[in-house]
Amino acid sequence: MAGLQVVFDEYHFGKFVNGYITGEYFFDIHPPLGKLLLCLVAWLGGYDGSQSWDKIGVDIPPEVNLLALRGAPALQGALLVPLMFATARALGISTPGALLTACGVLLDGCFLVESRFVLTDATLLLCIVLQVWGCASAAKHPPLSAAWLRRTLVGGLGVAGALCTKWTGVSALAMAGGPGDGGPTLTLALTEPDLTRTPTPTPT
Amino acid sequence: MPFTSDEACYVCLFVLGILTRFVMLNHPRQARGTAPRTQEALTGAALT
Repeated sequence: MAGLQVVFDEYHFGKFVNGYITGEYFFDIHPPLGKLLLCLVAWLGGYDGSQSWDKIGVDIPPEVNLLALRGAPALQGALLVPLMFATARALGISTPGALLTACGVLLDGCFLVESRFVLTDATLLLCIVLQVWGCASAAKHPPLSAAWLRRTLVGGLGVAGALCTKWTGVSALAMAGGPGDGGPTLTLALTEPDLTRTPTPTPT
Repeated sequence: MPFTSDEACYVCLFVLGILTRFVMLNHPRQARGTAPRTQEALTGAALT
């Protein structure tokens, strides 16, 4: 049986983690948040930047703590599942419907792969969904109330996190809308809540 | 009842998320690159 090997875009992100840990200069087109999170968890796990990521299929010796390298995306991928459930609930979907939504994320092959290797896509997806949850759950509260502000702030952090992870995170900003031009989710957050409707429990 | 159905869903989904993401994460059978050339062709570097 073959040993552990460098898989897919670990070829890139492994090099970036090495660059941060060893202080070696590198260039990447994307912003650094996702790579810094990868690096932080790898560093906490004792990774010293010695693994070679020069080629896909390069063997990774057992002494490299690969769990530390792949742990951050895995945790973010795990958090994405209940967050998707919360987002669906915040959008007014029934509990069985929200469960179905979350199970889609839980079992989808692409989400699984992106969560199980040294990649930044899990960070990006988590931040984008956080933005949608923030705006959707804010819509259940009167604008400018404390609960509305907290949830909108979380949505803003989601936009910032997505933008700081990959440029494709601009989609999160487009969903929220720029100044003076509310996008779908910001418009939703600014919509007067229907206070006659039975409130659904939302996480605090 | 100590938990609402939604709270129970959050806990169950998170546990399932942890299981599907972390189980065998560091195991050769999940981590080996079975077709390096094909995978290399799929990387951004190869496309750019």
